[in-house]
Amino acid sequence: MSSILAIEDDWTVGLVLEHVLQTAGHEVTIVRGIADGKGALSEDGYDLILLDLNLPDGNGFELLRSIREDLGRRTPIVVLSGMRQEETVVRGLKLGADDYVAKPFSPPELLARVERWVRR
Amino acid sequence: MNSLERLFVAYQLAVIGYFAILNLIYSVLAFVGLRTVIVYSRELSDVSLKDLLEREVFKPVSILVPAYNEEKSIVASVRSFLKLHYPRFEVVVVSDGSTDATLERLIDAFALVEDPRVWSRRLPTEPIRRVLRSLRHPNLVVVDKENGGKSDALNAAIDLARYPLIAPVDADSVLDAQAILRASRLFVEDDSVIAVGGTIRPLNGAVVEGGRPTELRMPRGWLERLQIVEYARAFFLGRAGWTRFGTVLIISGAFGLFRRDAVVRAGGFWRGTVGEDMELVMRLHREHIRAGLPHRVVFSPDPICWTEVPSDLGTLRRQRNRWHRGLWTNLWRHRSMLLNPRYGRVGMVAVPYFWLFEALAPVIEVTGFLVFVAALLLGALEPGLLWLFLALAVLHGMLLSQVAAGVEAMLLQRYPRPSDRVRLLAAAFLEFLGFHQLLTLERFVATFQAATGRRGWGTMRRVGIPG
Amino acid sequence: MWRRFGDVAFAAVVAVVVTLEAVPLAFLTWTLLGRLVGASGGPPVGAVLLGAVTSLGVGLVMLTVYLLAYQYVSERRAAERAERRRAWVERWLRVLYGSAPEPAAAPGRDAVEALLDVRETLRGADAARVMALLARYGVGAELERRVLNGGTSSRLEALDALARSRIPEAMPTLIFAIGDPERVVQVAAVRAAARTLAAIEDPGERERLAERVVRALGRSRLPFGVREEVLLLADDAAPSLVGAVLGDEATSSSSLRAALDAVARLQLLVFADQVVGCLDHEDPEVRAAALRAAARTGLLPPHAHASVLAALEDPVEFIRIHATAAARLLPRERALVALWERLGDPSWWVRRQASESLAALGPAGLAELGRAAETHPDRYGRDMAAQALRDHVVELVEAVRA
Repeated sequence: MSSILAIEDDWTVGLVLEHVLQTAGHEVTIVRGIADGKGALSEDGYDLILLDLNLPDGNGFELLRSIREDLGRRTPIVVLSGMRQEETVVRGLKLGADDYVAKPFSPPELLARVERWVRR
Repeated sequence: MNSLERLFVAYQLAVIGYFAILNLIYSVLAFVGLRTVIVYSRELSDVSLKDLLEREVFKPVSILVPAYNEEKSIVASVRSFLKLHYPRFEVVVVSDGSTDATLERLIDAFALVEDPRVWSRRLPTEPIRRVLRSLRHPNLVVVDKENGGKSDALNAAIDLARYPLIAPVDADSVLDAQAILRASRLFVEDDSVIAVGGTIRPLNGAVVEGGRPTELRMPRGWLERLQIVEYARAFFLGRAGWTRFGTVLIISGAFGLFRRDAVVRAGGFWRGTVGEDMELVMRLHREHIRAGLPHRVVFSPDPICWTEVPSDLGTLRRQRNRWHRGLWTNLWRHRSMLLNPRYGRVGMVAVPYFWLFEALAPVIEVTGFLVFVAALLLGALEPGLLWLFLALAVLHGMLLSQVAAGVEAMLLQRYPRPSDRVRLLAAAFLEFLGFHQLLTLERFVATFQAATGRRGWGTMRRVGIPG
Repeated sequence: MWRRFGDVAFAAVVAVVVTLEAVPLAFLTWTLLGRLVGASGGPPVGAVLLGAVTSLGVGLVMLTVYLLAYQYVSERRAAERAERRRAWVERWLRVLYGSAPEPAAAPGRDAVEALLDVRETLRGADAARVMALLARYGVGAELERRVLNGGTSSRLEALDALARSRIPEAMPTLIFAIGDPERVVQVAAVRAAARTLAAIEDPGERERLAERVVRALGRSRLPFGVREEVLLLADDAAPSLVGAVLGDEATSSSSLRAALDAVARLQLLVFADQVVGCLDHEDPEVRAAALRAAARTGLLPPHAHASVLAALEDPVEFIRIHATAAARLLPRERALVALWERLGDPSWWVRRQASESLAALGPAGLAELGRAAETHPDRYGRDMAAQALRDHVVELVEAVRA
């Protein structure tokens, strides 16, 4: 029973995440932007963060860097993004993401990856 | 019927004729503009927009910000530009010999250091003192140069711009987060596009959070409310209509996107006018037509730029005076295009339209009114008829403004509150009960000043011209 | 950006209002003309004016009432639709993941939109189930019908829906639509085709369709930017499309450029040979794109060296720029010599690229830059080298440490 934070502005994706993750027994909180994401992260209660890169109020990479460097959190971060270029993936991983799942995604695969990171 | 009456009827006919043709043109533009808006709303769906961003299909853009004595707001403005939702862009700020703390504020806020960079100079400008770059934001460049006016500042910025697309803006423009993407994709989709203009909307009254308007509210002052309607008419009906015919003559200085090479080839902005935005577009048309190069200047209603409009009468009048003088300067400079078949639709339709129905309109309206009053006093006209003529003119204007308000209502980001909607419609009514007439008078005065050679610069503010 | 609800209705209202304006004005003009030439009879000017004013007044009232009503209605509708769509998304998810039964009857527009939204987010087995649902309700067939008939706006909407649904059976219709006379429809069709192609699993099928798309693209007069966009949108199908373009004898320069750029962006190393083949193309834009692709992919086999060296002396500036970028892939000594020469090129951009390429060559290149900053015969070359050293000070420090 883990607690997952998803920073995702597309509400269909959010609903899918809720369904998939909640059915598997995890608690999911969805926030829709960088500002809300920062707010939610002010309390360190999450076991995993799902992060979209294309957010309406800012740059997802910036938030990623900020979580790792400014907030110093070690929470596993899985990037969930429609951007699939090699450079983008590498940049995300270098900035501190633990995994990178491209959109559109396969829910069983996402679940498997999420649970793997949460288990650690 | 005596000859005086005959003369008067002839004059009435001329005015009505002018009015009818103007009416017809506006109506056609309105209708065509509406269709443009309808098609555009389906052309670029959210999914396509997302695709463009995610697949990184875009052309990098250099945003050019000319600034003169903007110490109060420049830092916030530049921050707002740096936060735009676009994969690759730079911001080039030019302090045009500012005498206040503009540069100091910038240096402080963005950790600027001097860059002894060598770059290629293609446009002549006033001397550049130094070029500064930000340690924190690698895509921010600030230029300190000697005063030369807005055109000169923009030309300096163009020289330093490194990307193929340039976006001259006003220092106080607030760009919608997606504005640049929505505008630049037009360059990707069509090689012949050399310039794209978007919609300018007044920011006054809106609730602004994080530098962007989150909720639109009608401002308190009626002057501002009236301008909201005016801008809606100019952009959604006017320019949206012109773009369908391929004859866009103005791209607002508050926000436009140009191919850098095309602008450099044409020689950059001209210093001899206060309406440098329109003059550049006219010159681009001219040069490209002369060279036989295919080119398109496009207006797209989607990219939106917000700006504060004057809230007091004095500033507003000075602004409109400047715009009208700029209009005359530009039309005069390119008078060889007037009714010149060599310039196709631009020369045969758009330029004459601007001469007759934009530049000369205040003259015709004011003299028309005076003649009517004279006729009234001379007994050649019954008072009832005068009122009816006036009513006709006023109603026609109101109608167009209502249509514009209607188009605004179709935006997702519109004035949501019912009370504001009523105010907007009321403003559409009131615009022609004094506001329009006042501005017409100001433009009439400006015409005479232009004719007698007034070349006042005023402060460096946007000099776009609502059509 | 725009609400689509009621826009056509509004256009109709405006048309009526404009007519209410135009007719009396025309009549008024006619009446005054008559008076001018002295014709008597006919209604007095005052009456005509009154008629015109009344007509306009009526139009104005009509418009105002419509707008007030529209505001209210569209606001309510927007909220309702959002709610309905959300409810449908949840219902579809229950159908997919829970035990909810599939709706028996063909669902309405909101339901289909919701299903397309879900389609957009999924891949794999779950996506296949969504596709089965779409097929069950004949969504694809309906959309195809709308693409083939109807006004521009309706066609654009249908193409957008097809882009999201990625139904392979719709490909023939999409390919047909690429040949539409209207450019905006062409662009929408080509985007939908690329996205649909990306979802086709069977490689043989994908190759075959890719060739047809490429041929349709070739017949259209879409610009380079759109062609490139198509290749980039095709994701996993991009190699098929690029292969089809590069393999076609009659392919246009514009498509070739787009394909070469896609090779560069997507790192499609498998096309190295074709890239080299384009280095001697007659069209300078194609040569430049090939040079760019070689530089980005880092593949420059020995038999291509001569072409690159020749391109370094090309009279066209942008060819020299890209050749200078590719020059770093030449054998070390030749690269250093060639780039040293380019530092003295008359074009600022070529000089800049030369310095960048040298910097990218690691310690040897940096050393050469250092030498150039002091002893290069061209003054601008010296300036450029010095500037490059300042830019790459981090690499310099690391090189010195190593």
